[in-house]
Amino acid sequence: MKRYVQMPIAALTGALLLAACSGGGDADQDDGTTTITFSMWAGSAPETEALETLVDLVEDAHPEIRVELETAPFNDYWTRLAAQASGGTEACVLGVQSPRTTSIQGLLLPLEDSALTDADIDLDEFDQAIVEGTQVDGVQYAIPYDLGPLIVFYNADAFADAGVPAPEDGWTVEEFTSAAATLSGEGRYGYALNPSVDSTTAWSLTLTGQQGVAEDGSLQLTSPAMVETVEFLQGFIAAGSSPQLPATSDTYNALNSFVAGDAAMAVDGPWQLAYVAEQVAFEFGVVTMPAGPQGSGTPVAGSGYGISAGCEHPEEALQVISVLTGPDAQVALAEMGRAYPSRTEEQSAYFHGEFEIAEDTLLAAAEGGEPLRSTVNFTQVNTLFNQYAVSALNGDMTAAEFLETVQSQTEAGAQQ
Amino acid sequence: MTTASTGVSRSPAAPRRALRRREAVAAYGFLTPSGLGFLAFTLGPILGSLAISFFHWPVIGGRSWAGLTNFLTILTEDPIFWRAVRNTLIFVVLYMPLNFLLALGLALWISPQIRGRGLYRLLFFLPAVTPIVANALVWRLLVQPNGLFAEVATWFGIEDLNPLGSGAGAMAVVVAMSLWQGFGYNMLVFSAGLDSIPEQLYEAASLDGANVLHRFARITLPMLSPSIFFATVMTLITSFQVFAQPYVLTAGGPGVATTTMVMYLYQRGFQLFDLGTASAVATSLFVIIAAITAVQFTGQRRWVHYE
Repeated sequence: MKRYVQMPIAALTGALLLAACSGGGDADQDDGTTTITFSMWAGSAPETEALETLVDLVEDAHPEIRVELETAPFNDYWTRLAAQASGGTEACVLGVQSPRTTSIQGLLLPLEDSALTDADIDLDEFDQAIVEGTQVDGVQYAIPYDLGPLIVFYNADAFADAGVPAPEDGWTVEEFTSAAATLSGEGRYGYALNPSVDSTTAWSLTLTGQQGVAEDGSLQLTSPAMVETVEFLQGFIAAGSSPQLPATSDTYNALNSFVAGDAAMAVDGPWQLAYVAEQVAFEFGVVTMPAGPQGSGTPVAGSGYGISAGCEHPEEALQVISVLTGPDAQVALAEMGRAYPSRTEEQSAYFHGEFEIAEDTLLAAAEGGEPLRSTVNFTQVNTLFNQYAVSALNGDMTAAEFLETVQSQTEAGAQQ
Repeated sequence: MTTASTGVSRSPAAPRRALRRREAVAAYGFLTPSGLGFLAFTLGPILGSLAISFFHWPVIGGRSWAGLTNFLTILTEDPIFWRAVRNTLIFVVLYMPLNFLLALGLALWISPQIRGRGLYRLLFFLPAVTPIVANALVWRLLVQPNGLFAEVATWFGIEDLNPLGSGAGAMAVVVAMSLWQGFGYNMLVFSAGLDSIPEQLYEAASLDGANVLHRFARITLPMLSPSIFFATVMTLITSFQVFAQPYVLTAGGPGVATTTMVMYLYQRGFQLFDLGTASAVATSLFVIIAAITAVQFTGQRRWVHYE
């Protein structure tokens, strides 16, 4: 009987060996080219096509490099990165979102100044807020290709119908609040709240000049500044200027409420301009975050590319990144409306057609922008913040209780 | 007497052994494909996950032996683990009886030869075969503020209905959606079970003067007990593993009101990149399910009647 048991075990071992062999990243080809695997998020066919355009640019500039692109939708990208990293099969060039740089720092190769110079990358040519956003403790871990301050999208038709003058860059928090109140009623609302860390940070910067993460990277959600901000946001729902929030996995919930015409304003990034322009059935405009006692503040987040620590060809990978974040690639992405360039010189390429309306606002927003700070466990902060903010903003929890819960549960999670 | 039987009486053991061995070869041959699949995709991962739960196993960074630390952490320090256990139990306690009531009720209703019986069966089973993500997306449209439910509620004077805004409401929606999705399967199991009960039993009982309730309690339920047992075991296991509904519908919120155990292990493993505690959560869930299933199998002798 033993024989029959041995057979499946042998087959199983074979299968496992095969599985082990099929992993692995880049490899040298016989024809002298080096293959660099490139993993990036893309949620739609146009996004994937944009990435393929970039890959072509790389291969034209470096015929000796072959780029193997793999994509996954944004949320799945991080899950897959986790799975691949645990098996040691992550790609060589990785997409990195600035607020997540700290949490995946261990996966990434620090990018030394000398290596950057060799690869012809000059960080002075980039917007400094996002360059800083892709650093951890002053060390560069990714080269940014786009950035986004948060801006206010408004329904110009709704403003006109209600007799409220259209907002202008540099408007104030009082003007925002009173517009939101005037535009609300009969199932319509002035402002669709997004219970996320980044849009809350836009308000905390505007109202108090502070973020939920201190400069030294520690979480300070329970600070009086954050409590004040959350109480301010609670006021919108309490006053009927914002709709009640549902618990949802839809991260576009607030924006979709704006797009559907149910809410006259929403706070989001310029990366949503293409989507909004395509979806709305009304005239819309964008304007800076209203100015509070601390001026008009906004966190700046963006994305870039880093090299995995396990990459066998880091030099070639950096050459790939040099092209991916180079002027040509950024102009190409900007013209497609895919990304607002992180290179200051190339930003003008973005403002054409339906994006023209955003020019003044984005340039003005850049002045009040500072990098969205993050912590090592920022994913957990985000997750818990989003979940509990629903109860808090609906008025089922006090602001202090909410922030204390997120802070303490994150800290308990961090100890594990 | 035939030659074959004389053969057997002449030397009884040897050919039987040969036959048995041939049968064993065939049996193992047939078992190998599914056995391989079981080893590679079920037993292997279970043992792997069990092993990981005894290590500090971050996705990024070094791994080290942890002993029971992961278990101690989730059981004693973690502020969310016990909430997740409680949420899972609330889900099971609400979902199981309602599912059985609905499934059995509808199975009884369509069990007589009513017109269009096949059609009803098909209709009731339809939600069970639609992808759960599609179901959840449709439910989201129904229950969100400004959705159909909120619209209907205004007819009754309820403004701003927002069940997903409160913990109890969100759990109720998750249970309701799961019911809608899940009752069809059990209904089919019960319906098939009811069809196999001989009609004569009911006739005999009627002649003896048994009324509807008596016939249900003394014939239908005992005769249906194997189906009920099967459905109980399967439904309990799947309801302890509930994940997709909160994942797609509520993302575990508001707060952690709909964060179930599997939802939580997913968050720990694949959002927080901590496979050690995620596996500890998985192992705890495995122990709970195994214990409850064992109790069910021990208890079944008392109430399950096999013909």
